[in-house]
Amino acid sequence: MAEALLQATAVSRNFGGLRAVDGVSLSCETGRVHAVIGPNGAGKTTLINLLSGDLAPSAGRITYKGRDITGMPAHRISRLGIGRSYQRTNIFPEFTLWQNCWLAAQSREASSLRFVAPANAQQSVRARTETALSTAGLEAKADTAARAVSYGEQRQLEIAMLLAMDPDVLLLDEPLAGMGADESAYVIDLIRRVAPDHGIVLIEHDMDAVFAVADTLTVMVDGVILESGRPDDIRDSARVREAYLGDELGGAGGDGP
Amino acid sequence: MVNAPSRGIAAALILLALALALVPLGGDKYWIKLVTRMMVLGIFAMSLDLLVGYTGLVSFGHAAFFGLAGYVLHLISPDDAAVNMLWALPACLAATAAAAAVIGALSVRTRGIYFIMVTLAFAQMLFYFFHDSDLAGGSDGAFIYVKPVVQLGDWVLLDLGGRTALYYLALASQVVIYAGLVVMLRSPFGKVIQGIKINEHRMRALGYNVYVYKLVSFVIGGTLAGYAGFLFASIDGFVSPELLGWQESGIALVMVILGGMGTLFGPLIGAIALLGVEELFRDRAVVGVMAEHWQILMGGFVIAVVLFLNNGLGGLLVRLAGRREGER
Repeated sequence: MAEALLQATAVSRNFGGLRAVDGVSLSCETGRVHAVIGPNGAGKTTLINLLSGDLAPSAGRITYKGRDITGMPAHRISRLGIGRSYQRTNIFPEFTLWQNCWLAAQSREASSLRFVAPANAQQSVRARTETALSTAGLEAKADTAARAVSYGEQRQLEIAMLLAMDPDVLLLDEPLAGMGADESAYVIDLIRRVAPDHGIVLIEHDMDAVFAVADTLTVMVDGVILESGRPDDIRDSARVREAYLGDELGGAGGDGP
Repeated sequence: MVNAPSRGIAAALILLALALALVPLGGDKYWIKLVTRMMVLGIFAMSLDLLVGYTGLVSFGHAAFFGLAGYVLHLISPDDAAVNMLWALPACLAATAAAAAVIGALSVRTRGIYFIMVTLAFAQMLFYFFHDSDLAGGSDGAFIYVKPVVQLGDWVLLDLGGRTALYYLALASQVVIYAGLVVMLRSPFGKVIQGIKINEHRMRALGYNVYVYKLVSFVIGGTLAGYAGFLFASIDGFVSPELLGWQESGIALVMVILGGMGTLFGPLIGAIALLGVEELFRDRAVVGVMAEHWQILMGGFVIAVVLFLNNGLGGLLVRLAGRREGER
């Protein structure tokens, strides 16, 4: 078995009386895509927020490369090598795509308390910026303001920024949401391409995409894990069918359009 | 992230600097002093634009640093001799930087309306400290009887007691500080604070410790305000608690808004416009009896600029001159 990069053990998060995530354990290994599915409100995004440090868990433990990162602030977790994308586009609209990716690439430098040389002067940061843009297929729009590109391209930018951070773990929160068919296909292919060198946690509603890329599949309902295992086993699980997948799975399992 | 001024803006700014350089040749003492005040307040407003327009920190206590530097200058100036700027200026700047570090460390943790209130509260504390203590004349204020000089041995290089000398020092300071901030805003630090202004949450997720960057920006802005305060106290040779008060902070914000937030040169124009229009509205020959009530006219002017110009006078200039596109 591959080395466990990121490991959550029995993590919970309460919002007032609501237990959004309840005793969830999940692991993520280099070269593997761990998809998390479940209906809206199942706690998937909260789980990502716990892994990325945007939220601190109410209980449980999270380790990364064997190090306890539970409750660590988001910026430190990010610098350790855990990058996330957002379900709702979370970019810098006034900046060009290049500048958006530059900010992501620059974040890996030891410090940005540098006041004199122009930002674009450092070759290594520039190279990371441009590699990320071209990997995500956005180099043609590099100098366009992020607010001026299509929604699908903004979604691609989210991923490009993630790649520019050069993380070991990618936490992808519905990367395909709102994308057209061509863009989706491109991003699914992109996930496949980067998967061998990264540990990936993927939240996605698009079942075709999930079954196309996932090595492990976890189904969450009401904050708890209903089932977790190989995608084929999950597809065949009566419990999952009953609780959640229903017709959606039937469509994905058959020869849908 | 378009910080480098476009060609049109750069040309306009060079023309403005040349025009300013010609003012003392007219020799009118009143005008020299008025324009000196415009330029110094312009530096003060520009230092606030770094916080408001580029870092997203709407400070309502920026006058704390402006006034504090003036008071420090008063306290270290002997009554019967000029203080040497070569050590007096660093001392004033160090004091304001230290004050900005302390106030900033406690206030940049807060956001929005809370940040406005916390910075206001700190500035009012300083206001009342100088207002109520005997340290420097209390509410009456205090004089700097002999203005600072730059002196090497017995050789006086620059005497701020001379109107023209102070005028050109203010003009040169504007140019140097503006150019320095343009360079800084294009550096990694500059890009990072602008990212924080637009999307602080995302910057954190990218791995930036936004607290540190906001604090450093706050200290830089505060120290530059201190520099402006040092010059301002040297104009009249007088400091009073009002220099630290919320009205002074408010005037700086009005200058920034009038001139255009996030344009850097805008606040320089905003300061000229605000003081220039005040002169106009106080002139009976221009506005008749309304000169007695010039504040009403001023209110109307500020409202008109905010309502009809998108991002102030600087914003107008940017639209006329065009932006520099595709900068990386």
